[in-house]
Parts: sequence; structure tokens; C-alpha cells
Amino acid sequence: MRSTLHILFYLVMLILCTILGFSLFKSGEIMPLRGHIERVERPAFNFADWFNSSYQTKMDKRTQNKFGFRSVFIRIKNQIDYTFFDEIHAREVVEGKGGLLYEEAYIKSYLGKSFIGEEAIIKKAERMKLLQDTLAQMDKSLIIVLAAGKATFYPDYFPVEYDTLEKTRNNYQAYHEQLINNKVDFIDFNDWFLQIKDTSQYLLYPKQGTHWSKYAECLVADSLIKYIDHKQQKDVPDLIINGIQLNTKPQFRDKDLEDGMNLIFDLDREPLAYPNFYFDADTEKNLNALIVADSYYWGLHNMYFSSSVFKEASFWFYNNDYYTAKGESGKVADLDTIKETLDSDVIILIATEATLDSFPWSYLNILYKHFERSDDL
Amino acid sequence: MHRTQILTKKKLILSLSILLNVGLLAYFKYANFFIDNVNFILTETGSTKISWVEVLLPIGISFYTFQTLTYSIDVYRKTHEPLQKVSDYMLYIIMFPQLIAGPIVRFNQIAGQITDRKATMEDRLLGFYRFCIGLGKKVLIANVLGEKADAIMLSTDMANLDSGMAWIGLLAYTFQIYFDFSGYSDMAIGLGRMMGFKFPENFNMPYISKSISEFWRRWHITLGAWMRDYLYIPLGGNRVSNKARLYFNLGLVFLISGLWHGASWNFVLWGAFHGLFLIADRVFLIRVLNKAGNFFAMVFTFFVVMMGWVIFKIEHMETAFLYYQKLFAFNFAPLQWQSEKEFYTVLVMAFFFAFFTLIPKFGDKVYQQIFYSRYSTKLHICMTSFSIFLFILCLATLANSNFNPFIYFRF
Repeated sequence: MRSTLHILFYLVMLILCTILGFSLFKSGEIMPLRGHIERVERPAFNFADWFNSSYQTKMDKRTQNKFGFRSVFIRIKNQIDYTFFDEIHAREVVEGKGGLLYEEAYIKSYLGKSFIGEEAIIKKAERMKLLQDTLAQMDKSLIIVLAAGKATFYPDYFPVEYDTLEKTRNNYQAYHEQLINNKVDFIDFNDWFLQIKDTSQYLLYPKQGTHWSKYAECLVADSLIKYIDHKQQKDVPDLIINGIQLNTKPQFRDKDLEDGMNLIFDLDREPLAYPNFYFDADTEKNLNALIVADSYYWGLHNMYFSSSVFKEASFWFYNNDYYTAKGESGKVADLDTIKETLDSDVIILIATEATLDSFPWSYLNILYKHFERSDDL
Repeated sequence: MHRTQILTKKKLILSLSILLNVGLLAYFKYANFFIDNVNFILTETGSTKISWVEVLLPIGISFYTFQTLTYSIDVYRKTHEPLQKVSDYMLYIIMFPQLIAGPIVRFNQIAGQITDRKATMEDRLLGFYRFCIGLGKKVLIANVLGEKADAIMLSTDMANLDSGMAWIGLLAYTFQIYFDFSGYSDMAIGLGRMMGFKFPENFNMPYISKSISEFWRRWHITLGAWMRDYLYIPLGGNRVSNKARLYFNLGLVFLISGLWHGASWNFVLWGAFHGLFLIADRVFLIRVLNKAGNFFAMVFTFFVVMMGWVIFKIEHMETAFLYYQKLFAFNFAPLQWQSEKEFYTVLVMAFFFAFFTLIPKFGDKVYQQIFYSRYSTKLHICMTSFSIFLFILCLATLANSNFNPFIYFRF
């Protein structure tokens, strides 16, 4: 009995000391957490902060963020809460019917909860037309792209609590109509995806991802290239697909929502298609591009669309941060928007349904003010 | 004080000690309350308010003040010899496991252990089990229930509260306060045991009580014992000449108990509420409950205790009375339990653990075995595994408490 008690006690101490040791000495995480996670730095000590107790609060938060195996513990709790209580500890991620994951913003947008009003969209469509024509006179193409949206694509799988909510007019519907009414040239991938939804050989939206699938991105890339060819009357490098592999292990961003849930075990999978592709290197790249887009362009950027199709290209993420095809990055505010636009042959504006309420993030206003010489924004 | 034979000198030193300790407690804990009430009266009578810089409340002062008082009183009563070293005295007073939330450890209960104790391997393991059980009570039950209790009972929209939610909130608080407080006590007892100290028990399944008198023998036992030995008995206890004086003593002790819990009139009212039922027990209530049967007595007592928690939780009397109205309005809206599965699961678990000793042949046996009996090797292995599992679960819950990130950065 005595030796058993010793063994048990030392086992307990080993566990406690391991956790303490990792807290003090290990810098990396085991099973690193995903999502937009705030890193908490060690607070600098000063007596003022000590006496007003802000130092202790910050230090407490730092300790909570730093203790050993924190990421493992968080995943354990997340898994328990998800498995037994259907709770998801990732902000604004919800699980719909059939285990389909959504970001709530998409559902709310689809239901019309973030509708900015017909007037506002009419005004934007009119300005898009004006600027499209103005830039066309300079042999530049302003390409408006309505990216697909998971809520519009899968409206039947919303969580049960959304079934009773009334659907009203939403931004996507208004944009689609007003762009047509104002004769703006645009690409509507939302509409196209719905048309091919039942006939597509492979999934256009992954179950556990918020963005279109890698296969869908290839379709989009191919469509954009053909559209640019047509608009610029210049041949740009084509996307060539020489095979498709099916994989039940999602790649790239195809399970970004699941990743953000930070679970221990994987969710149920459906096979996703991963094209083997390359861009035609024999065709000369002779166009410069500026892409102002939300996160839906990241997939294309990361598949080297920018660097393979264009001579020079810059991706302005929400018109806030820029990322060039050469790998440079910085703040858009440090750039001259008009100069960058005039240096580009192709300007592509892309938004999905969830970000149409702020699309195109003041970029249009800057252009309008410059080209139409108007202060009326 | 211990060495002197002159009684008046002994009494003087004791009085000074009590005055100093109670004075410090009165200043740090009750000065703001006193000034607020004086200023209220001055304002009502049109006089100028007293200007006052609020005093900060040192953490745990209510607990360690009672401990310092027991030292002086036990030495005066010659219940135990005084400690020889200042360091031993400091160890007694600032013993960290029970410093800020009890159990209130009286000097005579622990004096021998300060200078002479041994922590066997079994003590260390039993202490670890107890600590983990306490941590589980606090983190896995009390914190979960507390969030809901606060959302309901401290709601700014109480006018729209339906009766169902009001009862859910009150039940959540009833179990939250029990598992929170008893959890802390378990952690303190466990940590003390690991260091060789045997602290007194503080809770003994209080919600199975069949009267308020029994409730106070099972709830915050060390406070009740302290009040009995250092306040109630010196006032005469049960040996007073007449019943009126007995009831007065009971009422006074519970008024002071209420005030001890917090510097606010709702705590005084809560103390008076319990004092009233204790008096009622003496007058007639216990006889009635005995005749009514165990089940009724238990349900009635649980109900009375719950009603008391409303005043304890809600500081403003108007809001507390509005809450009572909501409880008894009997307008029940459908319960949306699907979106709160974790809360309702924990509530059911809390109910089970609060009453499980009532399970015939099994409940009390398990309770006695886990908390009070010797362990076999097999049981040690089981409890070590269970405690490690519980500890990891608690760490996971604590790690997760503020973790709810966006998938992507939001502009």
C-alpha cells in the first residue's frame, strides 16, 4: 500500500510539474490554436499601474494565456462543449443542418439584416458605371465581381433558429439588379454557382469552410482570365488544369471554420476536389492589376494568380492592407490610390454577400472624387 | 495576558485585543456603510453631507479577524497555551489555504498542528483529492450556474422576467452559492491536508436539512460554531432566565451574522430572516415539521433558504421585492433549453450532488467513504485517476473561459 501511495503521489506531482515546466520554459504551443487570437504580452511594471491594479489585471491575463498546455486544454473544453452541448467557441460560427458550418454574417446578410438600402446601392452602381466608362476611355478595365456566398448557395441548411426569421431584400439582390439596371459590366459568381450547383461534379463549397472551395477558385480564376482577355483584348496566361485529386482531408482554407473551432477531433468529411494546375508560362504577362477585395481573393492570391497572370499586381485587402505579387506588404494609406489605379490596366473589385454592406471600402469614393471632380461622396 | 494572574489585567488586555481587531474590521469593512447611512439621514434632513474618501476593503478581513479574535479569547480562557514564536502566530493567521474564504479555523483547533504536524503520503493524496473536488465544484458547477444567476437576478429588465426564468435564476443562485463556497472550503481543506493540517469541515450537505436550525448546523459550520462559542454563549446561550432573552440572543447573533457577510442592509435583513426562523423553530416550527414528515420538512426548509437567497443576492430592496413578485406571478413562458444545454445539464448535476446522500443505501455510504473513511489501495487508485481527470477538466474550463475568437480579423 505504501509504495502504491508513493507512486500515485509522484504521478500527480509529475503532471503538475510538467504543466508548470511548460508554462515557464516552453515557448511554442502544442496543437496550436487557430483563428484571430490576441497575443498577450508581458506588461511592463510601474508603480502607478500597480497601485491602480491594472498591472495585476494584465499580468493575470498574461498568465492565463501562457500556462502550459493551454492550447490542449482549450481544445478539450471546446470538444466537450461541441460534442455534448452543441456549443461552438468560435465567434459567429454556427452549425447548420447536416453539420454545415457558416459564419453568421453570411446568414444575416442573406436574410437582409445588413441591407444598406436601395438608395445607397443605386448610388454605388451609378458611380461604378461612370468610373467604368471613364477608365475604359483610358483602356483600363474596371471589373466588378460579386463573389459567391455560402448562405446564398446553401440557404436550406441554416441552423434551426433561423428558419422562422423572415427573409427580406438583401445587398446581393439589390447589387445584382442595380448593376444590371445601370448597365455595369460585372461578373456574378453567386448566380453562376447557383446555376451549376446541381451539375457540378465537385463541391463548390466545403462543409467546414467559409470560402469557396479550391476547385471553385480554379473555376473562378479561369473565368476571370477569360473575362480579362475579352475586356482588354489581350492574351493573358491561361490556367491549365491537368488533373484533379479527391481528398477527404481538406487543404488550404477548406476547413477554416472547423480550424477556428479548435477541436480535438476532426468533423465528418466529404471528399473535396484539388485540381493540379499551372499557369501558361509561354504567354507573356503584359498587364498590371489592382485588386481591391475581401478575403475571397486570398485563395486566388495564394495560388499565384496575381503573380502568374499579371506583370505587376497588388491585392488591397479591404482597401486597408496591400500585398503585392512580389511579396511586399504594407498599409494602403501609405500609397497614392489614384497613381496605383492609373498604373494598372485592370482594376478588379471583389466582394462576397457578407461584405457588400461596406463594399468597396471607400475605394470607389476616392476614384469618384478624383475622376468626376466632385466632392459629393 | 497568559502570564498575569490579575483578572482585571487579563480582562483589560483581552478587551484591548478585541477592540483593536473588531475596530479594524469595523473601519475597513463598515466605515463606508456607516458614512453612507449617516449621509442619507443628513441629506433627508437637509443637512450637509460628511465628505469621506472611501476605504478599500482588505481581502479576507472578515475571516482572519475572527481567527485573531479566537487566539486572544482561547488564550484568555486558557483553552490553549499561547504560541511561543511570532512566526508561528503569523503562520496561524495568514495560512493561505483558508485565509480569504475560510473555513474559520479557531486557535484551539489548530494550535498543536502549527508546531507539531506530519503530512503522510496518504494525507497528501487525500488532500489532493479534496482539492480537486473543490475545484470541480467551483469551476464546473458554480461558475456555470453563476453566469446564468447573474444574468437573471441582476437583470436590468426584470419587469419582463417570467416566473419560470425567475425560479431558474433563483435555483441557479441557490446551487451556485453552495458549490462556490463549499468548493472553496474543500480546496482549503485539501491544501491544508497536503501540508499536514486538518482543518474543520465547513459544509455537510446543507440542503437536505429539515429545519433552519439544522441548516445552520450544516451550512458554514465554522461560522456557526464561532458565533455560538464566542457570541451566543457569552450572551447566555440557552441558559438564560427567560425565553424572551433567548430569542433576543438568537436574533442578535443572526443580525450580526448577516452584517458579517456584507456591509449592506440586505445582508442584515437576510440575517434577521434566518434569525426569525430560528426563533420560530424554538417556538413551534420544529414540532410542526417533525409531524409533517421528513420530505415535507426538507422541501419547506429548502424553500425558506431559497427565499432568503433573494435578499442575499439582490442588494436593492425594491428590486428584491419585485423579484419575489415575479416568482409568485405564475406566468410561465416556454423554456428555451435547447440553446442552453450546458447550463441545464449542470443545474441537474448540481441538484443531484446537493441531494445525493438521500439516495437510499448508496448516497450516504459513498459520501462517508469519500470524505471521512479510510481508503483502500484500489480506492486510492480510482480517486487519483478521477482527481487527475477532474483537475484537467477544470484547467480546460479555466483556459477556455475567455477564449472565443473570430476566425479572421474584423475590419
